Amino acid sequence: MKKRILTSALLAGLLALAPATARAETLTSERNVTFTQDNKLSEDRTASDVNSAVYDLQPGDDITITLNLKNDNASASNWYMTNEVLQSLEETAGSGASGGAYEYELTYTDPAGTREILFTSDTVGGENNGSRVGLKAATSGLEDFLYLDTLQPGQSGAVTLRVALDGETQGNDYQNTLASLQMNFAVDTTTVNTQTVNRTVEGDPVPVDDNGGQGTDGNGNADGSGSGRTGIVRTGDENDLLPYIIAAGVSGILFLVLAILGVKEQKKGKIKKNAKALGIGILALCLAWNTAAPVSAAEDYTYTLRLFAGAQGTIDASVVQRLTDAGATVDIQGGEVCVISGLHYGEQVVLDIQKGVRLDGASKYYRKGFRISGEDTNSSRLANPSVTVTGDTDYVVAYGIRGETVAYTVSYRDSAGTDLYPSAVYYGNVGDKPVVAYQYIEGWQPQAYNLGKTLTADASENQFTFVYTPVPTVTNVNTVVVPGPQVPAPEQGQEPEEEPAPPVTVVTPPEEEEEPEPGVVEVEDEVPPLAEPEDYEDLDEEETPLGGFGDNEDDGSGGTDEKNVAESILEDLATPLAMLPTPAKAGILAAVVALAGAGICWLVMTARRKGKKENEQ
Amino acid sequence: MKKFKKILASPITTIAAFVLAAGLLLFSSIGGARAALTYFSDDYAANIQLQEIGVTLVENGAPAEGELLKGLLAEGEQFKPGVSYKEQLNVYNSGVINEYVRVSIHKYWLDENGEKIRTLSPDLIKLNLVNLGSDWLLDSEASTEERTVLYYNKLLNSQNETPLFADRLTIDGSVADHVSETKKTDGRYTTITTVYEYDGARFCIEARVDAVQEHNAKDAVWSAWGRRVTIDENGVLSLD
Amino acid sequence: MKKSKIFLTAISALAAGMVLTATAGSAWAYFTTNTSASGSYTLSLGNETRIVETYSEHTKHLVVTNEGTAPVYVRARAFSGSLYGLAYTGEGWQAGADGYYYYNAAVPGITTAEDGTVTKSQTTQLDVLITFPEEAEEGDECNVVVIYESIPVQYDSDGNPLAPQAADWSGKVLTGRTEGGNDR
Repeated sequence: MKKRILTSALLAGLLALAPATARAETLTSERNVTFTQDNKLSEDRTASDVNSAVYDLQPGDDITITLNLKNDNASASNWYMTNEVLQSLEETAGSGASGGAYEYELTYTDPAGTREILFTSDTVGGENNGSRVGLKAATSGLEDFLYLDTLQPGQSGAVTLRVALDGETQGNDYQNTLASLQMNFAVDTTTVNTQTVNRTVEGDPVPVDDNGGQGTDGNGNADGSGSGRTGIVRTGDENDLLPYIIAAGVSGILFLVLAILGVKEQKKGKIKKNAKALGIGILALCLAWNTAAPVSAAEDYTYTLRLFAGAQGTIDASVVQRLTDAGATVDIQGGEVCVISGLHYGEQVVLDIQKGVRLDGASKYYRKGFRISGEDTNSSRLANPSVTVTGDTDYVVAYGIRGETVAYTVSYRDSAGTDLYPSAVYYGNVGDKPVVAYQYIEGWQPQAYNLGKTLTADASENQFTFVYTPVPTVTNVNTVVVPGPQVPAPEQGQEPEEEPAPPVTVVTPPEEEEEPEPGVVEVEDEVPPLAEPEDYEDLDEEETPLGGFGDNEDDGSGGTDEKNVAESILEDLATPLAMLPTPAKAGILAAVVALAGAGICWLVMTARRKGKKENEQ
Repeated sequence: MKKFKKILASPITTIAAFVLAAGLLLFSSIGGARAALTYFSDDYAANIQLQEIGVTLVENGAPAEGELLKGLLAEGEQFKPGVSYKEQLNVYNSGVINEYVRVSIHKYWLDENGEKIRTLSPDLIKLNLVNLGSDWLLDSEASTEERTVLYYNKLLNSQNETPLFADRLTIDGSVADHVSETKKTDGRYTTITTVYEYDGARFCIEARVDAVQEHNAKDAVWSAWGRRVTIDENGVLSLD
Repeated sequence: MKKSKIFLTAISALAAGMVLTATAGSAWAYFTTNTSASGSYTLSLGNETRIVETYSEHTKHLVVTNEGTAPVYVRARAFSGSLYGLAYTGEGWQAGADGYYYYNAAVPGITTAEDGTVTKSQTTQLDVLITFPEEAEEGDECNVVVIYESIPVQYDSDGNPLAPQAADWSGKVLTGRTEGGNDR
């Protein structure tokens, strides 16, 4: 019991550290469940409250449902409960909702008033590509009856469920969606508390996941050796199921063998098809982009560009990576907004929010990009970091909840592949489509000012390469090459907050970094001028499978490539796995054992077959 | 056997096999954990429902639907500087949830190619703003030569509309002051050519309405619009 | 660790279908919406007017033609030495308090009919009769200069055209630059 309290205290402490959500609108609901004298679980529901209370919520809201459990029976009773999400908001028919996060907390308060957390996470859902959609990720370990407590006659306990919708990540796609949660209770009076419930509580029950957030499974550890409250009731009727369980186990092993054989077949070169399908899927996600041709400036009035940090971070002057307009001024107001004023029409501003926007220390969010202030899902995408001024515009930084974080590298090279500027490494979610801006390099011109690409789980494929062409000048021998250290390849899954500051020295360009001098004009007769770079280039559209997707099976690297693809796909799935509850993990363990056996069987069979063949020959 | 291998090699088969295997194995290991409990409660269900937000710009009593100044002039009529045209603008909440709204008005001049003429003054495009202070707050931080931003300071309930924020549109008659004149005499003919700087320029008015949800509106405004506002207990919005 | 990873991956195939169809969350914040509308009109201000001046029987005959597209007001005035008297006559011309004679209606610009016929509009004729002093002799020259001005039609805020005399004629000189000489 001491341990339990300690656990609760630890959890409560962690919760207290979590970003405050007190700003939200809170709905509450309270109901009673009583185990009566005549052995019934009675409810005090009124007609309007039957079964399907509907709560109108908006992003950022939260709802707390309290169920008071009371034992009015003459004998002591063991209480159990299940909690299931029947439908998450994302599953609403016809809805395109995805990527939103939830906070989910299920607690039990015993008669002594000790509060015990059955499940808690402030990052349920989000951009995880888990097998359980949205809210459903929260209840994976709660869907079978779990033991709550033994209530003596007259004693009461309470179950409290709090669900909060994260406002920062639930946007317009979540309009007209519906989620459905359900709780059930059960009681038995057979004996004093059954000994089959494993009540061991781990000393450190809340694993902190790689992304710095609390693990979604507040109880489990991988080997399933112990967990407190999600321990599942084991009572009498297992024997009835035993034959089925055995049958299921055997069938499962058979299917596993099949699957392994399948993988083996695929390894013979078929995997690339799969990878291509993935590529096509990602391609389908590409958005249409507009380009705006820069227009030369005239003597005229000027414009203001404002970039707001929004609710999750603060901004500093380093957010302005490049400003072509010498007359413009940058003003940071209270860390909340960067105001660039005095901008002339057609001038260019390059913004780098990865560098210039700081997240709160323990933030669960990451910087996604920025968008036009007030734009909604239907009308916008993330704005290009390289902005051509055509009017007064406000932008707001956009944030997401981390899912599968993967590194991507931005390189600045000449056509021969030589780095002209140190590469930068950033982090995003698999499936995100970041847009990165070029670096101004004196005497060189990139193929486009902005590059966009969908991130895949394989960091080595997430390359954004600006290819620079020399701008023709009379003395083009002296093209400027900015030397810099190579950025080491990032380790996958590396914590973004810990990323080493990329060795990019970006400054608001000094005078000499202005547009090519008038001298350039003189040689126009001799050297044809370069075409203006594209405003935006979508790397997904031109993508032909690289490295891992190559057709060259026989070049020796094919095997490695396939392995990478397979690994990356499998690693895609690792995160959701971490969220699985203990029973599931126990299942996995069982599967592991079964698979090991199957593997051995298979090896033996193969060996025998081989032997047979040899004999035949 | 070859065919079998082929089927086996298909990713779908593999995935299906994995799924079945995993499912069955999970069942075999944890399926036994089903409880035989004596008394069960009914289902305690809670449904969370998220409704729709919507907003409409209303011009002279009718939804603007992307276009302003419709029907301002009769067929063949020219737009006349100095004339004050009726241009009543307000906002209607066409969604299900209540909302807070703001309006950004952009005024500028375009040449025949649709390019902005930045040497002509947006000030001469006069949209007469009304109910300022009482219902609409001018965001002076956001306002520039081209842009005016107004916040409606109350909650706009579903299916309700705001008071007007503008009522008349005038192109200042002084556009005709920006002029150059040439005089040419040829025998008994004298020709005076007057060139107006604003001749052929197209004035453009753009009104954009943003709306944000009622709940957690302060945070929502901050996150979606970037702006810091305060909303008191009566739902009245003020600019920080 | 390695072992568990391998088998985690086995179960993770459960989610393989999800991965293949996974879409990036378009995580925008909160419920927001926007709508926008815009409208524009082209201003037509430019004008080109031409005065045709003939002289016969001590009288200057003036007709002003509007060759621009926007309607204009026209006013005219003759200057002579004190020796000569000037008398204005012309239907539709009214004397203003400032010495100018105002054509009492707007002169519409060029219109092009559907069949392509171009119609120019002009004022009626203004005659300026010059009275010579009694001592004048045959062959004496008089120097009478007629100036005229035109401005785009002006309206009150309700859209009603102002009377030509009530219009603001000062505007042109306020900021206008003159080229090619303006010797009024």
